[in-house]
Amino acid sequence: MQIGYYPGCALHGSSNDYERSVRVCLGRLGMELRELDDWVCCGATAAHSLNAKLATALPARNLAIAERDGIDQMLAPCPMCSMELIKAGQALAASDALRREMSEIVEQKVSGATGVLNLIQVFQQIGLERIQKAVVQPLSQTKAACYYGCLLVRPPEQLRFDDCENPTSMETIIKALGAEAIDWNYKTECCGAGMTMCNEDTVLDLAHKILTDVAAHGANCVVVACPMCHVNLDMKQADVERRYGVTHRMPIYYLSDLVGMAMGASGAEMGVDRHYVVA
Amino acid sequence: MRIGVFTCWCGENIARHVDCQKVAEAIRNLLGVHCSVDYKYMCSDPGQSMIREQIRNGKLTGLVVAACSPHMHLKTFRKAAEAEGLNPYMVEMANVREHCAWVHHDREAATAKAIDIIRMAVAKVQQNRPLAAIRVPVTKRAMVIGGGVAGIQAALDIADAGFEVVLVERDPSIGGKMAGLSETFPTLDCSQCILTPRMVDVGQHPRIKLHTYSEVEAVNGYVGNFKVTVRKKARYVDITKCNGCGDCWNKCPQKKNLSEFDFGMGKRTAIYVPFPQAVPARPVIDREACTMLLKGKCGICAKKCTRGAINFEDQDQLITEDVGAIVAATGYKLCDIGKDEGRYKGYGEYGFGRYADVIDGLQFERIVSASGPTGGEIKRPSASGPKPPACGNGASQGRIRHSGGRRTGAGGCGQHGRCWPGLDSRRPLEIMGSVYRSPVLGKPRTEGTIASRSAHAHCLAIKMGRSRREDRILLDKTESPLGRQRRTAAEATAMAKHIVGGAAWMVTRAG
Repeated sequence: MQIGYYPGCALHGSSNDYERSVRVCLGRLGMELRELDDWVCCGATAAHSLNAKLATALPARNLAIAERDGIDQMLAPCPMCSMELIKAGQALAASDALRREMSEIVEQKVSGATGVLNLIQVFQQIGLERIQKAVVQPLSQTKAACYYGCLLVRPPEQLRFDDCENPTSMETIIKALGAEAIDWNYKTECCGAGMTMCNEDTVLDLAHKILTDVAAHGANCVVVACPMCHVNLDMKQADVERRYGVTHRMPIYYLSDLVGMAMGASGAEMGVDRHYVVA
Repeated sequence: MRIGVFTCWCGENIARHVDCQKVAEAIRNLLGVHCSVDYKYMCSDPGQSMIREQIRNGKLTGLVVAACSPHMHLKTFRKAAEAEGLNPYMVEMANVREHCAWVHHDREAATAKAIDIIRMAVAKVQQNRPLAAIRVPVTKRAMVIGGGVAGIQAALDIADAGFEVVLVERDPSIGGKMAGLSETFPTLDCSQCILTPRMVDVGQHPRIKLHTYSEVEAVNGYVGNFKVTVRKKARYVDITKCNGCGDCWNKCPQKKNLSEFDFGMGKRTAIYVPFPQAVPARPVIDREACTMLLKGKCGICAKKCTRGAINFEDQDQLITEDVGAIVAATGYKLCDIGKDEGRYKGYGEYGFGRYADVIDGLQFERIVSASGPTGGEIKRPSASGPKPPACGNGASQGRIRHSGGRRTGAGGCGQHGRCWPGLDSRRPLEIMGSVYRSPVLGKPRTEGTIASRSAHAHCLAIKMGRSRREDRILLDKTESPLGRQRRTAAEATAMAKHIVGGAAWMVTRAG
């Protein structure tokens, strides 16, 4: 089975461990990723806070490429990318005028018909049963705190796949791997995201809050499905510990890491050895 | 058509913010307007005389009086018109006082708006047709829908005025929300002490016919003559035979049904009266919970009943009531989590419905109420989900309630069975939103504290979570205007939620 793949900047850059993990994991589930040809940036916060037209045009170009190449479903593992693509797709599908305008700007016909999925939705599509069958090494020792962050389930008007205040879709997948999913308080809090560049204090404060709550509820790892969350909780964890004089030592996994490991893939194969906090 | 427009100054009331002369001039040129005059007090005798003179001399066929609300003086001007032989329904009022002069300061804009309002009235009167008043017989009998405090009082007032009343209530007893409250603002008077005498009055009033456990299916007919179809839901108890002794519900083995009256925090049997002061004090059988009705097994209540009042064959009945007026006193509900309530949807961030110790205002009332599931002791709805009410053994309760450093929740009290952990004196019960009253201000019933409104003024609760180790509700809030985030830990939080629905309103008035 083949599915379109939009990596976005993070998965080809700072979070290429995430890409390796996704590729290996989905590969074991028989899913081949077909990377979008000549894709461009999704626009991210920079575009939608500066220029609405640009914020639609950038994802529209990517959607146009997908349509041209006959990709009707596309995985965007970064929630920022998937959100921007979904938002643009929905706006395009709803307005004839916008479709005409954007087709002109991106110099290609675009209708917004491509289905954009995040990682959780891809697992949902594969089906719990198939994942369960593929598990060779149940994660019985894992007590995972599933962390969704801000964008996986928001804005709820656009991303209607889970409850935006108490999402549970990741937990369902984790439980299928034989792991325990703990209940905790900050599933959907912000990790500080892009503030990591301009206001590190905020990021450290938020990350500390999240890591403290995770530990208080008895988790032994955090599961994320967002490159930015991973950076702020994993790479910045040493800074958090230094700043607050505590020891968290909390490993942060991508959702695909855990699914992959349960299916017998090695950590090194999936880039887990490149995480800063070692389990 | 020959329309006369009369713009009133109402002394200074209108003239201060509306240039009445300018208005009169502007209106004068409208199509169909024969004359346009302004005057200081249009409702005064000279004012009315002037109007009558104009009707007479100008042979007016329509009248617009630009003055106050029609509630004030429409009748006055209609009478004046009638006296000159002009049909009273050809008189319209343009409200340039309440709807314009009183609510604006900008004289120029208010004048322009007054002109618009009068133009609309002129257009309307052009569509008017002379009408002849008729008299319609009215059924001198009223129906009140809803047996809460509003409906109860409405029914009593109408009945005391000498009219027959039919009171329809959906639940097994009248009383509504107020029966579940503890004390009332601002006197801390006992809610039930105010309400129950009125409930009894309703039950005993010779002119009030009470249909409890009933719902209105349809309203037909016309003004003053309605035919209302009421569904009397199967009660499975003949309330004329039953004497309310309680043998049935005391012996009912199905004890684990969540009590609607306690908002799911207490339990009740399958055959039950919702609360002790119920009117009528007759039980109903919950058809979703009774094993006899579900599976044909049990029937203990019927065996215990010495009066033969239990009837498992009971069916819903549709009856028709003739009434001339209907009062809708259907009350309100708190908006729910997870259900789509339009723009009121929400509360997910507070974990309502997920954490047992996050409750709403009405649930809190039940916890505080002497008739509530905790017998009026303020206790937590527990960390491990709702527990059955009112632990039978008071001794264990006392022990649990205040042993200083004891911190565990349900775990610690497990040995005593069904007790709720009491409030720890050092931890607050948080109350969010606009607290409409603080019930323990007058008489503290517990050593627990209530962090009241003052402590949370200018705070916005942003999130609630649960502390596993301490078994507490964690409340993150921002303090405006600084936007500083603070966190408090509480044993329980009560939220003052939105209400949906409205107060009673008169649909039609009794003849």
